[in-house]
Amino acid sequence: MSPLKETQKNQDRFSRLVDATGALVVGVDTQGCITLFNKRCQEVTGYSAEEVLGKNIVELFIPVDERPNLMVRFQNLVQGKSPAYSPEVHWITKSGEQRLMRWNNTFITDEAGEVVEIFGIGIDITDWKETQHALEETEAKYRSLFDSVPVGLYRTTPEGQIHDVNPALVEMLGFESKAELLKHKASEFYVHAEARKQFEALIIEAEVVRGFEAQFQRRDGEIIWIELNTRAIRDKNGDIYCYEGSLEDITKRKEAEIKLLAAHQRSEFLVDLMAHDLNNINQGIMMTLELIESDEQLPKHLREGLEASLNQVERSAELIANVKRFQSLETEPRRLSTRDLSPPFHAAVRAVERAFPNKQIFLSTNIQDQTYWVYSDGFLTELFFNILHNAAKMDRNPMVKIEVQASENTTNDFVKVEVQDQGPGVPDSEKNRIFNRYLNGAEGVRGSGIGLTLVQRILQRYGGQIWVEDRVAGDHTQGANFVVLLPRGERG
Amino acid sequence: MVGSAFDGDEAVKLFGALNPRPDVLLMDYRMPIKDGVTATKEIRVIDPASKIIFLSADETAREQALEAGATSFLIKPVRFAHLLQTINQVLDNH
Repeated sequence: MSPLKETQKNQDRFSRLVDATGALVVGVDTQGCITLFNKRCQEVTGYSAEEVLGKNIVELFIPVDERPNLMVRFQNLVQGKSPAYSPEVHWITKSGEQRLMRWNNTFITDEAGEVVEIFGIGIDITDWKETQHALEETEAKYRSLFDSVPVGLYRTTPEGQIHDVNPALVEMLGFESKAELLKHKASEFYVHAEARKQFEALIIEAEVVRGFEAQFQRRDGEIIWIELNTRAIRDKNGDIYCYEGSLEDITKRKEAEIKLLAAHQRSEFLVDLMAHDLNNINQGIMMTLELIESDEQLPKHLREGLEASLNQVERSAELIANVKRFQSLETEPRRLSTRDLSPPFHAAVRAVERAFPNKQIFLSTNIQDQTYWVYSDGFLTELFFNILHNAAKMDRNPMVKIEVQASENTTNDFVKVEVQDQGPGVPDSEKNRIFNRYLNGAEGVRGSGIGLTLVQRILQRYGGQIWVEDRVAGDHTQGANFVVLLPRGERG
Repeated sequence: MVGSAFDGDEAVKLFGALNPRPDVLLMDYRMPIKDGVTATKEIRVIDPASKIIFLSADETAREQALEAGATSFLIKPVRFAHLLQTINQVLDNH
């Protein structure tokens, strides 16, 4: 092959290579006039090789503010000084868009060692830069959130070495600075080593721990209650490389809970004490009164007095029983199911008859077995017992007449039960109050006990309602009509 | 004849020692040393036919008492008439 052909062949190979590369390849002479402009350059700038060859690269592509710096570098290259770093330079494309390029430059010299041509090989880093910038912004945003959130945030190694904490946690644990806190291990803060072990077992098993409560000791020795929420973070190989989560100071809540529990236990103790000891006392009084009453010589007025006293003892016992029931209403979980209204209702009727051995109770009702079904629980007997007991108690007549009518209202899904008595009735001013004696704390529990308040509470449990009307509209002295709405259940 | 014991422990010992056995026992729930439920269980072991009327101010004791072997359960305070009626029922049924 002739030397000319050889040269042509080499040039051809060079141009193919230059065009095939994904990089930008540009050549200029010592005046900065473009001598080579590869395909990638044409794609990125929108100019064809013909449009740019022979034109000054700086004037054509470089934004004015970047020109002075570039000129210095260019002069160095012309003088044969290799650049120490890869400059990032903006190019303005044909459409006017600015693209950021990173360049590696080199030059070729003639036989005399003079630089004759300079080549730049570059990549368009505009998109990469934008992504990096967006990442930095996101990182900054999260960092700012991390630093400003009032909840303690942290990241630890699986071994408990603390990697990162936010200012809220530094403050919560009583440290002056983050650096100081990072010298410690997570396990050092636990008051009880057992709690740490428990936490570790949980996180290993489930990888997520929510609402874990423990006692921590602050740097100043103060003990606080904290709530931990943590999850394990895995790396791309699937290995746990850190735990991250939040830590909240719940000391105030915990103290309130402990106080509440103590108050609850105290009230349980008092109710228990009252139920047991007072009823034992009641039993003693009752037996004594009954022994005296058994004396056939006893004058009539004393006998009447004894009977009244016995009634008072029974009222006292009933009140105590209701206080007990109140308590079990608070503590027993609510589990409602559809029930036949009849058995609990009739059990209540029998209990009321037993409670008033000296009264004759005439009760008429349409409530029969398997007729009405209501959503309720075991408190249903208590509910009717208290309404009926109230009716029998308030009626001074030894013959107590009570009428109970149930009806079904399919449109609003309730079973309506109306209990009509012929007692002294309820004046309008009292109609709302009689169900809420318990709530009117300042006024205390008055005269007729808390039976109707208990009824109200049971109905709240069922999503039912109760109110009282006059049996004869407009004349409360003719007796009361207690209207109860119970959620209707499916026929069982 | 009527006899009484100070607590559950004494009741069990007394019951074991008595011959003939009492027709009926009135058993309290909360007592020192040995409570009524334990005493009821032990007395039923000594004599499975014993008749025990359990009395308590605590309604929640009902189930425990009946499980322990009580024949009947009454809530304190109980009226004299009701107590007598229960004693008669317990004696008639056995």
